[in-house]
Amino acid sequence: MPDIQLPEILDQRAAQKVATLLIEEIGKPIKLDASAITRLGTIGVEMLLAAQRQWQSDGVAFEVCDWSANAEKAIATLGLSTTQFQVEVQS
Amino acid sequence: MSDMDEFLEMFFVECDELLEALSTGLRAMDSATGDVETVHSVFRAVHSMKGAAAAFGLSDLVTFAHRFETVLDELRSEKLDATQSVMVTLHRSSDFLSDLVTAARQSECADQARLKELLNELDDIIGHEDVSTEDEDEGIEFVPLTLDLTPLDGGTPLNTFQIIFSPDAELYRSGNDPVALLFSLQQLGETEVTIDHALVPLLRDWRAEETYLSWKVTLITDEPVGKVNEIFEFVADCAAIEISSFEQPIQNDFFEKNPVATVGSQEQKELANNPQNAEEHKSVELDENKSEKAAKTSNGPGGNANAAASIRVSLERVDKLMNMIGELVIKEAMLYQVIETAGLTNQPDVVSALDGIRQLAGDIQESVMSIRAQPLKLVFQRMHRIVREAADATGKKVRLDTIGENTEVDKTMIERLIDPLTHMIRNSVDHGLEDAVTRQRRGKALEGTITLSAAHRSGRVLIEVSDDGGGIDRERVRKIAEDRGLIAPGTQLSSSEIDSLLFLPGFSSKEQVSALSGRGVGLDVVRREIMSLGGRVMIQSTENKGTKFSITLPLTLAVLEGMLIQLGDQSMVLPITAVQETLRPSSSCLHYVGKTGKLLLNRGELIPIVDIACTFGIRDEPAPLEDGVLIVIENDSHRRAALFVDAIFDQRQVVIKSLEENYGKIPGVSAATILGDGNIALIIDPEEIIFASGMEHARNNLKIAAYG
Amino acid sequence: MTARILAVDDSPTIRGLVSSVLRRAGFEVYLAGDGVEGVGSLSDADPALIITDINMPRMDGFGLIEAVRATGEYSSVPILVLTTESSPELKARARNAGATGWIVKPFEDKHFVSVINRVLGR
Repeated sequence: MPDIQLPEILDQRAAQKVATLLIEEIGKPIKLDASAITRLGTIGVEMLLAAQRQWQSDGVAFEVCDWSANAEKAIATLGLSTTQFQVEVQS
Repeated sequence: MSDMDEFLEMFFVECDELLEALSTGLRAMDSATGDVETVHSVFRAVHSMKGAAAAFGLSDLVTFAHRFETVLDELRSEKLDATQSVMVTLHRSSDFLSDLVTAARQSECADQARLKELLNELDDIIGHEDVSTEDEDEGIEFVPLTLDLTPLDGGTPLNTFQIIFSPDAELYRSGNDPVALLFSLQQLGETEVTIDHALVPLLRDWRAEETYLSWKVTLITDEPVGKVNEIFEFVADCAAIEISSFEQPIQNDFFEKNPVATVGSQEQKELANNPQNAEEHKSVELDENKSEKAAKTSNGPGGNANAAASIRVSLERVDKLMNMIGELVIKEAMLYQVIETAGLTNQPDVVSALDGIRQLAGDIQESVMSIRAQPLKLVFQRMHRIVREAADATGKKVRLDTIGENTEVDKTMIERLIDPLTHMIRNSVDHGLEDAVTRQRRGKALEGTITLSAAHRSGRVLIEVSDDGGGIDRERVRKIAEDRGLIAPGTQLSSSEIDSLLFLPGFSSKEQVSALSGRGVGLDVVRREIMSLGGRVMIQSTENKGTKFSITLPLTLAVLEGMLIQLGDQSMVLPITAVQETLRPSSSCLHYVGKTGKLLLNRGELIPIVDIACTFGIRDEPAPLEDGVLIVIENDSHRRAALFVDAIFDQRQVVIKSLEENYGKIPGVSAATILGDGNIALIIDPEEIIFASGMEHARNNLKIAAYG
Repeated sequence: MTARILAVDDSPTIRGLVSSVLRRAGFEVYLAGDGVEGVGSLSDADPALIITDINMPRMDGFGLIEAVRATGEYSSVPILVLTTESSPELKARARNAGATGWIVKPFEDKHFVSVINRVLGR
């Protein structure tokens, strides 16, 4: 399962970059490491939601792990929960 | 709030610079050397002042600068021509702006009548009747709309708001972020945030530039709706926002009639509905941007763009540094003596190391002096206003030419030169220049010219104020001096001696009091001021051609080039500027008057010999003249004296240490210095010595005796 | 965590005032004297937020905002305009350039800091 390290600042521009990267991995199980994030913008969250949705529709495992405190706070502020960024595959 | 005071002080310093740039620019506009960039720089100066003044709530200053700026803006955009009458108003406004700054600095109220008058003048130029109301609108506009919903019966009732918020893409592009906005909402009270993410597509179809999220927030808070609105202050034009209040019966019309308040810019929506319009709108903006940028870049050379990076340091710190360097110079001299005593002066490496230190100390001293140095421009610039005002008051047409305003002198001197120069300039306008009728009769240009120049001359600064007026009426000056009892009737005086009478205390040639004079200040005060700066004033006048006042000043007040002399067992320093010559007395040139009076025949003149060791009480009886050396000194009014000293050691730079702070004024002594051996040497004030000697000897009579 | 703020203003007084207020509020402050300097100091300052004046020599506030928005790294950094005017035209122009918001002078320290915190989501 390839790991992708999410950048410190996940703003609009970074979200675009990560999305390009992730699109390459579509169809493969993936784990994203959110431990380095210091600033998580709404667009970044949106992109992660879109990714989760993509993996879910493909039925492939998707996980964002090790949320940094700042990232967790942003998620909560926006009215979301970190558990919403997972796709578990029953095998 | 001392912190605020500090910045206020900084603001005033900045204002001084901006005012200077302003008046320089306006003058360039006068002389038609000014171009578009000049107008831009003038505009920017006023604008910057307004901006900073606003930060301190200096409302008169802001109001006036704003109106001033409006006129300059019209000039800048070429809606208005810089006619002569417009320029007159601009100059006046610039002067008044300076007054406003002064008033603010002294926490005084500005001249409201003048303010009104000039505002009207500026309005007339703008030609808009509605400017003032526009102004007020603007002033009020930025106050955030606050609806206080707190009932009068006190308590803090809880309001419940529901906020529906869906951002446009524009919101993200502007650097705003819902995370921040929602977080701020949560700070107001208890919130429940529901996100609507149904629109978020699969990653493959996801576009960073598009928006898919919206929120519904329920907020329970004791804060009024204004606080909620405030949070969306910056995004009202780039998001759909609905704020509604419920559960709390509100007696406010605002909510009764509009159960849902929609915050959002109508214009923005219209633009969105009409893309073509929006496109047009944008392209216009872009063009504007471009032209402005083009103007800015061409502003490059000579403009603000090239301003060197600088820091502000308090004068106190520089002074401290200067003082320490003074100490360093002294320590270096001490070190030299120690080495000499130890008999090491023949060791080449010791000597060269010492020379290195000496060289370095000298360089550092020079560097610090250059830190303190400021261009005379700062003073000269002010004189334009003085001339303008003096010309107005006397009804004369006067032009002021300045030369060499980049000549630098010590900062302290800059400040202390303002008063004397102001007085001299006024004097030149008032008394130097003839009125228009006389000038015409004499075949001169109707407009009188006053030239203010500065230059470095052999280690000193020379400042000259000259006019192309009628010159000094010496007959009249002599008569006035006789009438006032300043000289005995019939005293023989050379032209330059008559001219010097102008500097005598109690002399005032004003037969009629004009609007400018009558300030009770004569040229004697000017002279005293200049002398206290270690300078001298001279006067030259040619009938019908004009009068020239020349001021020479030392470059710094901290060091002095002096002659180290010996008096008995004491060392003293004589400022080199006063020394005319030194000579060994020979009987052929010595004359005796009475029992103790001794005179030296020098250059056809008999001058008093002063044994300064006696003057200072170092010895009681005058020493025999053969045992010492005579130093001929001269003061500004060309009066001379010969000082008898035991020996002359050498000539050197000494660091001036003021005595007055600790000891008060000592007659005949201007200051002190510390010598290499650690001893203190007093610095002689030649002016006072000559003055004292003149009291003892009626000089003019002696002159007659010498030839008789 | 201290946030870094880049303040761009050609007036040393305003720079001093702004930096004093912000430092007291616990921010780390970088200063620049005009738009060109501001853009040049981006990577040094690495700001979480930029405050800028509009009327400045060489490059004005609009130019600075556009330039910052055009950079990759700092394109999403909030930029607040510090201005004496608050006309809708000015706001529209600032917004068009990509400004996040505006603070009108004279500002009150508390309000100033609260606006910044709001924009930063702190």
